[in-house]
Amino acid sequence: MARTTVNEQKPTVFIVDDECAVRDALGLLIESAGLPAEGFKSACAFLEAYDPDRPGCLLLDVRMKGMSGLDLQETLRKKNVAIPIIFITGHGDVAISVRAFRGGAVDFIEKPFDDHTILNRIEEALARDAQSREKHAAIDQILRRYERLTPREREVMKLVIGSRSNKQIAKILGISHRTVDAHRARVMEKMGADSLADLIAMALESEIV
Amino acid sequence: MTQDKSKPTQPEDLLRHAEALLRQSPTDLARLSVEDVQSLIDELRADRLKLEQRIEAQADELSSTNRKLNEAIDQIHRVKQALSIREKKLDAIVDSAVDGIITIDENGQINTFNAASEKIFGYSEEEMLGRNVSLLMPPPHRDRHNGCINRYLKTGKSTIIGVGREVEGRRKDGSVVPLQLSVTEFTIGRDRCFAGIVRDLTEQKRNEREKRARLDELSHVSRLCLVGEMASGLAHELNQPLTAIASYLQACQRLIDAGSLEKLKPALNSAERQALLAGEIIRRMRAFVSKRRTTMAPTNINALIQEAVGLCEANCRQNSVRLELKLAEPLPDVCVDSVQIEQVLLNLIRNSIEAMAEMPTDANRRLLIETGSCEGSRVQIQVTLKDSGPGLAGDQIDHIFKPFHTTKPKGMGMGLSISRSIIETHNGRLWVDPDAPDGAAFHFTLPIADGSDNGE
Repeated sequence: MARTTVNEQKPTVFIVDDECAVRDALGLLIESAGLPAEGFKSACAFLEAYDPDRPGCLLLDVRMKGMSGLDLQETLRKKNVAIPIIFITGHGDVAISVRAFRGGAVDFIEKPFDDHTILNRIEEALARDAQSREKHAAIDQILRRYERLTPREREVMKLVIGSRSNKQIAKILGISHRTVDAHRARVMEKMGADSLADLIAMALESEIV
Repeated sequence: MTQDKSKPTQPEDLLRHAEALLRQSPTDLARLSVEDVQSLIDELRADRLKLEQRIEAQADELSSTNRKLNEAIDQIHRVKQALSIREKKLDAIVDSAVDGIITIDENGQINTFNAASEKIFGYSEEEMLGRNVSLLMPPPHRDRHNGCINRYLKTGKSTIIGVGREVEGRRKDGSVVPLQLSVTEFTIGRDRCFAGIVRDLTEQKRNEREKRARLDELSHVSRLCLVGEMASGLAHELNQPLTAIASYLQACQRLIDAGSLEKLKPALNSAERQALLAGEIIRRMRAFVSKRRTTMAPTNINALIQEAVGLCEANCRQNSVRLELKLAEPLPDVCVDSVQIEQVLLNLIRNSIEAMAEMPTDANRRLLIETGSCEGSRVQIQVTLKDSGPGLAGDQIDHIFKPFHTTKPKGMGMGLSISRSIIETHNGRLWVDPDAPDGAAFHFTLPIADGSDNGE
């Protein structure tokens, strides 16, 4: 099956921390590890500048003047932006960590941090982002292909996925066995499925049925 | 007879007339008529009567004078007695007075030295009568005293007459005793004299010192508590530069490994700056909690506010409180113990932060610190802290400055009480504005430091 990632850009590490020195130092560290980094002094500044199509992860300070890290997480969630978030904090605050994890944070690390730890966590987050973007891209592709099916082909596809035989399908739809065969072949071709199992996987992944 | 025509009227004249008659010759006498003799006898009789009357009148007058004299003598006796009672009373008062009473003449010689003075200075009255009063003063003042009297006698200008003030006295054993001295002037005849009333302030000074020491102790404990309460904020405050330093240095190692040395220097510079910043936070905190003696020094209140704000910035951030400063520049210095005034500021700032922490997250949390000078009996600096919190209910205002009054589960309730004691020992005032439109407004004043305060 030929799946392509929609976005081939290099992922960026976005740093949101109101402490200038921390932002600067983290940026330098991440860049020294060969990753592009961009710093924002507030949650609002990040929201204004961020394009959700850009791959990457978010290093987010929990406590900031104005909009807090948790507030930003909430805002992103409402906007359906799924960028992985690594929370950074000076306090091992249990209540905040619980809220952050519930909100879908990838990670939670305490200042000051060891460079290997933070770079590993960033790498993990970026992998997760890539994976999730890939998954979303694949689903988008399946949905786009599904859009191209005729109503009859969609009916046939649903029945095929429901493990009906061609004979049963012909009987249900009141069409000839040969016609079912032709529809089925076109569904497999248009959807780019190699096998029945592949088609079923696609349907489940994209929640078509 | 010629004498008949000029009849003597005075008894002496009459007598002389009668004698003259008797010295006449018997012939002449015989020539006198019975009427003449009778008339003479009558006259003599009348004169005698007059004389008797005069004697009587004189006797009356004499006895009246005598009575008056006796009365006067009685009066003098009574006055003398009264005077002696009065003198005894005065002596008793002077001697039993708690305060030392010393009188001197215009040469500074002592005329009176009461029992209390004996007790204060350790000299006996006999030792001191006639001695110069400068003996009771420690060296720097001793030599100047006669000059002072002379100057006063010449110019009428005095630094002490009519105004009591604190001075130092010297005891017989040479030790120095703090005294409250007031001097009055009086004249006896043409002599000008001075009376000094001295009170021993040793006890009072000791009480003040003890009170001060207790406040020092209490404020130190309270500072420790305050820093304890602020610990998480301070830890956060320290963590920031440490995080930055760690990250800069980790980046530096990678830069060295990658050979990109041109980026190394700025990164190291940044790390250094952060290390110094962390050191500054620790210095500030240590200065704040250190156990130390009160030291009053001219201080700029604005700088003190900046220092206090530096200690609680993290707490403000944690609680999303926006801190605004409206500091009047330039302001005259105040003479204060900077750590204690900083403690007052921190107490008030924390108080506001805590009051606002309970507000909904989207509420406007603002703390404004304002300085300015205000004119009163003398120029003072006024500091105002105004927050946008829920404010104080009318009945709370009466209690907040009492010790152990607290509305917080964690607080000791000493912050405001100690703050007020601190401000009052600095001769200032700390109060809360009962009519603040929204939120709470605390004010305190401090007198400005001026040269005249240090003068003798």
